[in-house]
Amino acid sequence: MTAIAQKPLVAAPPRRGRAVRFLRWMRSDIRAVASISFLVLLLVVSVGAPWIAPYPPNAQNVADLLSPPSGAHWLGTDDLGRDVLSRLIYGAPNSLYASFLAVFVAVLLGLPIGLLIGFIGGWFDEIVSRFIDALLSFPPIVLAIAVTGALGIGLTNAMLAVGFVFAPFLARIVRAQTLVVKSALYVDASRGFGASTPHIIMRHILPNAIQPVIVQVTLMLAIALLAEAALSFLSLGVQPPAASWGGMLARAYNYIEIAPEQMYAPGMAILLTALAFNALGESMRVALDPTMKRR
Amino acid sequence: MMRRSLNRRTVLKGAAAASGVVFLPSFGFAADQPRRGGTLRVGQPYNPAAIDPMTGRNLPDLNVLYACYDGLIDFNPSTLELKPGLAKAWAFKDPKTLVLDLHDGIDFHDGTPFNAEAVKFNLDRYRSDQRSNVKSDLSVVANVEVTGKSQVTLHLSRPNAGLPAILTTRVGLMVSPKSVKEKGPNVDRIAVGTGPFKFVEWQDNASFTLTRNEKYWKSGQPYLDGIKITIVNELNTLVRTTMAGETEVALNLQVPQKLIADRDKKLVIQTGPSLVFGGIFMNYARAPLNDVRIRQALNYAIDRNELNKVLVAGLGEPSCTILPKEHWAVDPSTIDYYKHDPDKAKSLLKAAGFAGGIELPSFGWPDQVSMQRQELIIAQLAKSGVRIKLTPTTPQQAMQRLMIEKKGDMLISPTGGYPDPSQSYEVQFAKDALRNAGKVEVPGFRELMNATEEAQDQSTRKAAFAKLQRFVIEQALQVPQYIWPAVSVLSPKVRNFDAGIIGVPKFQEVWLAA
Amino acid sequence: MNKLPRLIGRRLLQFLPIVVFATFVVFGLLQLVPGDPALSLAGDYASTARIAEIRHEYGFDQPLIVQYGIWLWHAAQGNLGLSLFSSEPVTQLIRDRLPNTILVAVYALIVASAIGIPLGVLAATRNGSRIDSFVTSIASMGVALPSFWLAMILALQFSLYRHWFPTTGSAYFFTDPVGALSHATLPAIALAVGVVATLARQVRSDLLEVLNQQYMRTLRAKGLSSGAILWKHGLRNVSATLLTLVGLQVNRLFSGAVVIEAVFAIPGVGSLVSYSAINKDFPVVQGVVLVLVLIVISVNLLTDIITALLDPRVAAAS
Repeated sequence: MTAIAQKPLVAAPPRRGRAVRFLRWMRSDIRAVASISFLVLLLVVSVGAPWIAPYPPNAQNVADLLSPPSGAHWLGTDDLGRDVLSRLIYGAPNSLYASFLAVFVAVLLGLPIGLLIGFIGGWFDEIVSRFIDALLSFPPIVLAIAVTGALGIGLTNAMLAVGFVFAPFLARIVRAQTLVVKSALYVDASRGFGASTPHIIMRHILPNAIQPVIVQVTLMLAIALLAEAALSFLSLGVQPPAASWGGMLARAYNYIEIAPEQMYAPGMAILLTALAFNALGESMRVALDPTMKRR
Repeated sequence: MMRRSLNRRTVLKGAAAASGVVFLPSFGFAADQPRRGGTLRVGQPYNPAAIDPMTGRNLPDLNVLYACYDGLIDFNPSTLELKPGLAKAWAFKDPKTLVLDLHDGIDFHDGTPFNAEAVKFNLDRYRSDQRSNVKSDLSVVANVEVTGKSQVTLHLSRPNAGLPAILTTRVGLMVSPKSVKEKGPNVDRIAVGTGPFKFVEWQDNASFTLTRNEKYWKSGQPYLDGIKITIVNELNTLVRTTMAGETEVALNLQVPQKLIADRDKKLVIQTGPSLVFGGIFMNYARAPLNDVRIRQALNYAIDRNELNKVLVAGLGEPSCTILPKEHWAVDPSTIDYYKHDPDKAKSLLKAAGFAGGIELPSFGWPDQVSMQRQELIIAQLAKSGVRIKLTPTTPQQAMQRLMIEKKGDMLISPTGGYPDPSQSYEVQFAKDALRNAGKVEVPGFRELMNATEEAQDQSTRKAAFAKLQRFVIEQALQVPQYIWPAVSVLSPKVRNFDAGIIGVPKFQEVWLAA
Repeated sequence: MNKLPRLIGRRLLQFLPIVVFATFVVFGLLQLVPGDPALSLAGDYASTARIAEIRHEYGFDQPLIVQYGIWLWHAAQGNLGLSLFSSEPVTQLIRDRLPNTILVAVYALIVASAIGIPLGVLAATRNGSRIDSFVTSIASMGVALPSFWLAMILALQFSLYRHWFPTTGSAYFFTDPVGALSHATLPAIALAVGVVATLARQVRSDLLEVLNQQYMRTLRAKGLSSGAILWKHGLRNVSATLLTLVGLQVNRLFSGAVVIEAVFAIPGVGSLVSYSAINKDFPVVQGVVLVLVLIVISVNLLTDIITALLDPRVAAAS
């Protein structure tokens, strides 16, 4: 379990001050700068794909199959003569959409549940925690595959499944944070803050509990991305002819002996994006709570 | 296309232009005498569900079935013309009575005699056993009668000249009645027939071991001491076993494996037509595909040559019909009835009321190879204003959706595999056929269909098929693209190997050079 | 030690609700499918009689809890149904394929532990040095690397180009151990990388935490050598959490195995569940998920018990 430092809690400091400190820290961290820049670039590419990509992603050219990088096609062409670079670019929004959707679902399910069980405690906590333990015992991809198989294959369903699989993990973290905050608050409350209404607790618990959650969410984006790539690789996620990095890897694998270089571009794209999310998450972890011991 | 790697050098004149693919070993085999001995190691990608002819399902099962069992009627692998098998002669006494005269003196592997009683036992079993998957193949047989020690008479409920061809397939394979009675359902897992090889062992999803039937009734054969079939599910791995010398034969491959095997110049690669073709099933019982102009538009919009070149490296046969041109029942004159003509396609669509193009929801298969094919077809059709909305789904699901639930308008998928041409047409276009999505017969179809089943001699049947073929093409009841190439990769030591159109070699004729 | 049975008993009791909930989730998968669950179990081309038969056999016309009970009862007896695709009993399918998956997973776990743990120790003891940064970077990379991409690269370099290992498939371990290991090596390496990263990182941070604690400084002040501190106190203290951590990786390894098996065409339960899911072969999907989750839970239970034995503080804390 995460070793979470016990911070002495007062009323949450003014938001702006915290934000400013946060930004100042981030700017000084090279890793953070690099990863944010990369992600912003990715976002720009995703939104601007129709203008940035040199060719339409599905434009076939059967005279030019599986060709190596050239002036006309910087990353070469695939097995139907489509430009690899363009497909890579058009794959970006799919990957970003996928990661964010999965994490959104995880937060939507995990955050409230974690807050609730942490706050209410007692046998309710016991039972739901056991249920969460049960869910965490499922190998994530296997469960995602099963849920996707049940709901029907396709990117949205696959990411709903992944989000559902990640939710327990998030719930647990939120719960742990809630417990920490709750005990500190009660300690303070007993010093005469007055009767704490649920409203005030929400205003105190949530802002204080949210920090590790933000870190965790960022890290989860990386894992969701990898999960989407894996599911698309297995033909369960993004359906062709839509471009997706995982799908491109699956198609490339078919031609691994004839055109092995096909698999490097999509693989690198996945790796770099996952690295960026990860690096950002790590930097945020340090930035948001410098007193917290490193994991 | 090359079928025999040895003697038909003349066929190369056509094949060289089309494919330049077949590697002929440089020494002449024609003079070589078959050498007796050696165990042939074969690789195939499929694990049969069962090796009882009655309960299995897939064409590649025949790799083992034809080795252990003989058929009542035999066939020429390249043209599917019929030859005597366990029945040395057959004739229609009248259109509804088929008489089979059997060879004498043949025994099953367990020593029991093969005779008319055994034939009746087998045929009745195929027709009526609860677990029989092949009942429909013999649906036209009303009664099987033993009319002599070595003569069987089949009484039909209606004329069907295609029955002898049907007897070359599963329902013609003769199993020892004694083994059926003794082993019951376990006959799924062991094979006792009259075939050139005796069954020794089956390790599920791993291997088959077969040994020579020393008492095989065709004297001199088989040449091989035995066969070891290894099951390798993944095609690329399979072809690599032959490249690495771990097997001498790799069966049931696809074109990508040929491209891999090309690297090893020593290997012999056989490609040729199969009974499978890439096509599109359509529901023409309702709009919009009930309008023949739209179906024809699809046929004009497809660029068959491009599909052939890109998807199967030019090794298939672009075709407008559902059987390969090497097949005796095919009329070559209508094979390229539809030339690639997007403008013609557009004008047909316009005449049908779709000047702005048409949208057709379609199913397809989800694997990578199929997706490549589907993406290419979608792009071709788009140029003529036909927009396909594709839903990839597994083969069984796709059949269920289109054929039973009547969802969607089309299914892009390969199909085929029936050796009797009447069967090939019936299973697709007959009113209640599973593969007829709309479950309607276009007017005019039935008379032409029946004519092929009623004609008695080959030449009359052939003429009847020519008419039926033209009708189906003109009515555009399918959108055939190309005949699927079958690929086998062989070690240069293997001789006399010919998988033919069915894709199943006759192992009794194969021998290994030293 | 008469503490042991009580310890085990208590742990079992704690795990029991987890098992029950897990089975409930597996059962619930079937309910997720839009439409009639009987149709899902009967498959395409099933006759209406067969569908009705299944509906009766599984009790789909009964309240949900009864259905769950029936399904659970069947499962407990080892009857996981028949595959819709091949009509084989699911239990048999799994039994045939599970050893392949387990071989690769265990192999990967051993390799990952043998590499990851020493790396973590190294980084912790050389905290702040270049080695430390190196290990940390590798760990970051390893977590972000798609394991199936690595698998493809390994297959290309060491199987297709260099023929050191077979490309695909598997061999039966008990009849051909060398062959089996040879087939399993590249997949295991591909799977192991992510685990190496996690282990190295976690060992490093846990060990750092322990080594930096007050009483460590006291020990050093007393004159104990660094080596002795590391071994006798540092590692002893982390070994309990280490074991738990290693146990937790099993879950992740099964997860990764699914995709790796697709790359290497290994006939394991991973490839089984993915093509069964595509084919909507529900009995198989449910069966595999159930078996895997039970294995994970058992492993966690086992590590929990061993940890409690090793470290009485942990036992007392529960």
